[in-house]
Amino acid sequence: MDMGARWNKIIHDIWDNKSRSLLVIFTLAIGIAAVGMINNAARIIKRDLFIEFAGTHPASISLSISPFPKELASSVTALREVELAEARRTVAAHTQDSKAVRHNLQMVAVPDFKSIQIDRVAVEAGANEPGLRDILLERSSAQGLGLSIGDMLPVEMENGNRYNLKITGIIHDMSTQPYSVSQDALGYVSMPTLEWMRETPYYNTLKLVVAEDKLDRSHVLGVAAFARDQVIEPAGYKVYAMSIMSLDGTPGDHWVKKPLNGVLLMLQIMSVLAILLTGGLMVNTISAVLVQQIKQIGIMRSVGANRRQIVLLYLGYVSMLSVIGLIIAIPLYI
Amino acid sequence: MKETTSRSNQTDTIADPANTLIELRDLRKSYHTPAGPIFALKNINLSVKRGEFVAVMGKSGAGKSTLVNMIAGIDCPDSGEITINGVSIQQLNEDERARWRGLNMGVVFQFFQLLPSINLVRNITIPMEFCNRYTAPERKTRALFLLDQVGLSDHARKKPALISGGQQQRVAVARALANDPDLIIADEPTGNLDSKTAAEILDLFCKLTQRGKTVLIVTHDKTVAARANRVVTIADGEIA
Repeated sequence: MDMGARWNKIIHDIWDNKSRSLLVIFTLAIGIAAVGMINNAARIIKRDLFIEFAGTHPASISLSISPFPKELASSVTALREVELAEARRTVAAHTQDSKAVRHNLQMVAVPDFKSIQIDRVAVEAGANEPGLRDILLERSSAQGLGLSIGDMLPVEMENGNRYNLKITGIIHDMSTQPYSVSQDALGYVSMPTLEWMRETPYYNTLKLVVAEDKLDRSHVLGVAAFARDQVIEPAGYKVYAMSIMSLDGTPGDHWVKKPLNGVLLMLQIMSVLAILLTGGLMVNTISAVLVQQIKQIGIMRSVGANRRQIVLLYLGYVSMLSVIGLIIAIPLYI
Repeated sequence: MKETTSRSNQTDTIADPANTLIELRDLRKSYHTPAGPIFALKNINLSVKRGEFVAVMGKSGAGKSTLVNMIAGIDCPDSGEITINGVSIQQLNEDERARWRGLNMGVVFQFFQLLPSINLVRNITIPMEFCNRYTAPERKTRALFLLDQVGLSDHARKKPALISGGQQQRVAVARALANDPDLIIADEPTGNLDSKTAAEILDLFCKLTQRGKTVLIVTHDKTVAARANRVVTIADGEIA
């Protein structure tokens, strides 16, 4: 197929100046790949992390309350403004890693591990629920402590009592900061296990999901205060604190969302800068090509080329380099 | 206006509109410099008939190239008229002049000026592409025909760098004929060639005039001018 003398000229101009063409192509490819990779990463993070987090039915707010029975959760759930409330028991303790370094350990007990509705956890390996004297360790904690299923986790209670719990499962809890960030270990135990550890079987944390305006911080705080004033405290229990588990206080947001969005934004800005630099280099290179080819442009004008034809010729040259750069870049960021 | 001829047939200086291809009337061109204006052309009047072989002679700086640039539509005069084949080219805009030039005129340069990255055939087809003449297969056929006319059909697929200067100039002549123009303008076409090759190029030009083409050649070489039907001498921007 005859491509025409003009396309032939473009191809040969690219081929005959390989080093310059390769410089432009790879600069383009890197710039495009950088933009693609960063934006792809952002999309994947938002899809995998934030959407997955939303799937755990995150709590709107968490209330620290004086010891209460699990039935209190049902009473709060009965409020029109509350979609769901769940009781939890959190116990602060300590553990040691493989190098005998002491770390904080938070043990959590729920009424029914298999039926958690708020801040759902995912069992990644091992048992589906914690048995007696067993613990399901959060996956980042297991990694950080260098432990796996079957290992024993040493636990030291606040009162100095020591116990060993068998790790029977690994879970993933997206509602808390991972061990790598907080350096605090997290595990789920059963209430009988806490009783075995001489803890009184009560609950001290109420997780709440509001019925409407889930992202409205003031509304969420208002509902929590309403629950406190109308149900919890009239029932004789004291609310010590109300906390929204996100860094900027937006209910239902993953704790890392704001800083991660900031980092992603910076990366996206840098990718735009990379593209601008790529564009600058392209402009520079094309200017050099045009200067080098001024005589050839004059020749083409003398044999009948108008301005539009000359512009299209060199746009074709740039386009061909861009297409080649794109072909190289696409596999890099897919 | 003084014109000298190198051949026995004297040209008629009175313009015959039907037979006149190029008509220049009261052409003036000046360039502005920090030292003041330079009058490159002063009141030029010239007629060239169809089929003539005209040599424009003059010393360096006399205005030969300026005159040729006006005729070729590469530059515009300050005043005066340039009529070629009935078209007042100074009234056309730059793009219109470029297209007109591609269709009606072939230009041959001193340093051949072939496009280095494409082969000889494509150097000849490119003017046809720009002016949208002939179909794609016809362009290739015509290019090979023209190369054969200048004796270079065996080198069709070569790039200009692989042939000699004389051969390149022959290709340049073939390119000038790509769109079958009535007028060929050559600016010092033999200036970069040895005498034998120069003679071959001039033979080509003579053949073209025998076929009815009009050839206008700019030269400072008397032996080249001697091959023309008519010699126009320019000195200090005026036809001497």
